[in-house]
Amino acid sequence: MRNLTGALAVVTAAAALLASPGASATAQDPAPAPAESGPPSVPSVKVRPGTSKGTGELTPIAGADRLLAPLGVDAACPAKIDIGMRSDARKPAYADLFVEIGEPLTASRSMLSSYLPPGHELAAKLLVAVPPGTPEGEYGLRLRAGRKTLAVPVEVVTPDRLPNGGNLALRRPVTASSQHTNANYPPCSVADGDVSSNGWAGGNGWNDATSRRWPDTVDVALGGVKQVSRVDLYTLDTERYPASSVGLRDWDVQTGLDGQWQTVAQVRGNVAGSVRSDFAPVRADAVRIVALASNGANDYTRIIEVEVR
Amino acid sequence: MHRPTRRSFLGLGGSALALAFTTNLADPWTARASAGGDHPFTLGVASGDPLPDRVILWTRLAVEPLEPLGGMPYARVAVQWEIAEDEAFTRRVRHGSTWATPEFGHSVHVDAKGLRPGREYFYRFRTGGHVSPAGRTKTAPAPGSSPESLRLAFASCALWQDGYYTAYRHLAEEEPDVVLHLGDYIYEYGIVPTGGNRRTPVPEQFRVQCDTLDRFRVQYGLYKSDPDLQAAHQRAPWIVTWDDHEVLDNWAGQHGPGGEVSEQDYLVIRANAFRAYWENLPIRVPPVQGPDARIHRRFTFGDLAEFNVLDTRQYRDDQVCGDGQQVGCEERLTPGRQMLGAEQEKWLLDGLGRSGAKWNVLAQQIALMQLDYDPSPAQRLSMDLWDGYKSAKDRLLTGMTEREVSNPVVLTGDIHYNLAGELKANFDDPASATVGVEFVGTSISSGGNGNPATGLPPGGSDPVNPHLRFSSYQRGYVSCEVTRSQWRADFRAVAYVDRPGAPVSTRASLVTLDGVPGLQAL
Repeated sequence: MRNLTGALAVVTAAAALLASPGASATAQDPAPAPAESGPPSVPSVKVRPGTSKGTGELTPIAGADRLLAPLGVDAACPAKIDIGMRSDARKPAYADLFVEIGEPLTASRSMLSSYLPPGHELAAKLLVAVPPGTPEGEYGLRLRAGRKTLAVPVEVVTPDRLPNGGNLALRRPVTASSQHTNANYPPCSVADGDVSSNGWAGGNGWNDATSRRWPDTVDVALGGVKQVSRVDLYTLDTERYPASSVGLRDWDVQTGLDGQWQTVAQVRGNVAGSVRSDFAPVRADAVRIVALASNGANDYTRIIEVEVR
Repeated sequence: MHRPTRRSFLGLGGSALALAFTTNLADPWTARASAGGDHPFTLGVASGDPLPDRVILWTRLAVEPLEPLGGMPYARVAVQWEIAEDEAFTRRVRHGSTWATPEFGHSVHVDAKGLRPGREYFYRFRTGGHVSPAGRTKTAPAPGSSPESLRLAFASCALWQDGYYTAYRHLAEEEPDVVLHLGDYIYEYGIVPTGGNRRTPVPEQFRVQCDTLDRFRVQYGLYKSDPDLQAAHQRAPWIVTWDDHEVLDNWAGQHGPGGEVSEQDYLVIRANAFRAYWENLPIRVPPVQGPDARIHRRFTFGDLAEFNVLDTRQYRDDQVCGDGQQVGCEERLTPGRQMLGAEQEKWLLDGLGRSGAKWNVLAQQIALMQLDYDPSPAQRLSMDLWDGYKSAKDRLLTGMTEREVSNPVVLTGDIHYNLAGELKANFDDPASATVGVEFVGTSISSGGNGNPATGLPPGGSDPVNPHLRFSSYQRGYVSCEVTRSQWRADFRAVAYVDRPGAPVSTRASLVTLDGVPGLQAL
């Protein structure tokens, strides 16, 4: 006969995706379901208080004047833009924003509805998918709230023409040794240009599927032979999930050329959210991170972004 | 528990029912082409919050359940409703018309009044030539009456991507007098396109977590598209309350998850979550208009049972010692900490003090009995449960004792575990008085298949938690038969949830006798 504590302990430990101490959020329910479904992800909605003009108007807003949408990238990592609205009403209300996008692009939502206190601005993510074969060029994105419409041009470009700030990995194809599927951890998210840990489990980072089994690998193809001398790795690091508890601890940086890999840098004992590795310039058509250990429970690899220069 | 029922008829769903209507010449609502492509009743029908003379009738129009407005126009739509004494609708007792508006996700909440107490009714809706499936409901017994028995079921925690809702189907087939849902009806989590354990594809937009109202609405659209959940609503009135996942994991009062989620973000998310909850459940509270919504309320079933439906999330103080399971957290003992909030706590104790019911029920979310997770002498307690709010728990247990409350029974969800235990005046002293009992029902699907090999057999004894009489880690629900002499709880378990069609069986039956606090295994 097993007692309750024994039974609970077995179940909880087996299921914890984020084990203690970073796992306080998942281990707090003795039940395993929240853990099996991934750590609580972070909602994307952001609210900014302000002063209402009292006109009763709703104004559509966007986080950028235009959106660059790369062509030929993994559908799991679409282009993202903040969209939302500002209320100049006198009272709080539930407000609606309608989203229209030019074909053949598709948007992750056709409307955005939310509670909105007066004077507040609210923004949420809009994901824009570019189907394969879409001609390069400018497409329309229209945001309509109340009587106002905001147009945001969407420019569809190939990754070769994407301004990358020198980051050779940006929007390049990514393959990983495995992918955890109980939440949204696509490998392509390590090359999506977003280095923040916001939105973990919601598509902004890669989590492998092999708990406590090492190594894990993630490869970025550079789209041709490039000279490479620096790799920056960002691991999960938030107030609730600090890198010292859940982040990557040990890894090798490898470069590849025609399928031949060499280790160019090693990181050991890391507790920081990001690490820069410099090495002698080398010709490479791919970069690989060989993950060897993580902090805390030493269970999974969690990588937010890999930049190559 | 299996009685001959009208299951074979009701179980056929909307289009077959519409066909049945057309053969009934007495039916005033002969449908035309109800099985057409733009069927607006894809989310089923529901009833709830039964009183002796009224019950809430619910539906939500959606031709495309996974679209933010259910694929409906951004305009109001007229909906007719009727309620009858017979399922052929020949003895119609009330009917009317109402509007489904886009502001409330085209949901309909009708408070059908003028009903007779303690009897079965059948209801349905109609719009634009489409007739909904018919639902079965039942009013509460008359005030002051002395019912001989009550059959109820309670359930919680139905993470969609963790498995099928087979347990809801079996619950539906029991046709209880009332169903209590104790929260985590939905989860706010994003869902991968492959659909988790269900291996049922879902659209890309489900990847992201619920935060905006449109996102919460499509989450409810997905959940409520499930035929087993629809069946459970269709065959009995529900009384619902929320737990944490209707909003955000382990939210507490004014406190959100912290980190990048500011308090302003959190309150907006909460307002969206509460609104979507109201839209999608058959609940008799005013339409939600913001981040504050009172849902604690009380239901009286003659002098047999009174249900105090609690909200242990909205008014609680933040979890101490960083939440999670903790050893030696002194802050959990701090006097004056709130689980229910002062207003709800007073409302509860005042109500319990006034109650003339034989069985006094707390329908709530989180374990009230002490749960020590550490097999060693150290006590490891969960800061999210009542254990993390020791002073509030003591005020409640002492308050019930002082008021000599008749037969306290606590019904609980949240932890995806079946538990039956005795509520002790002092949980650290097994010899102290037993003041009531608690039944913790496991999840419908959350956690996946479970493990029948774990747990404490009924009547067994757990050395670490000596007040515990039974536990099991399986999926299911709890079915209760309440009579004037005893309360019997049957823990119903399904064999698996990663594929449809699991059989159900009773893992354990426990009984508490009127006037004798404590549990006996059958």
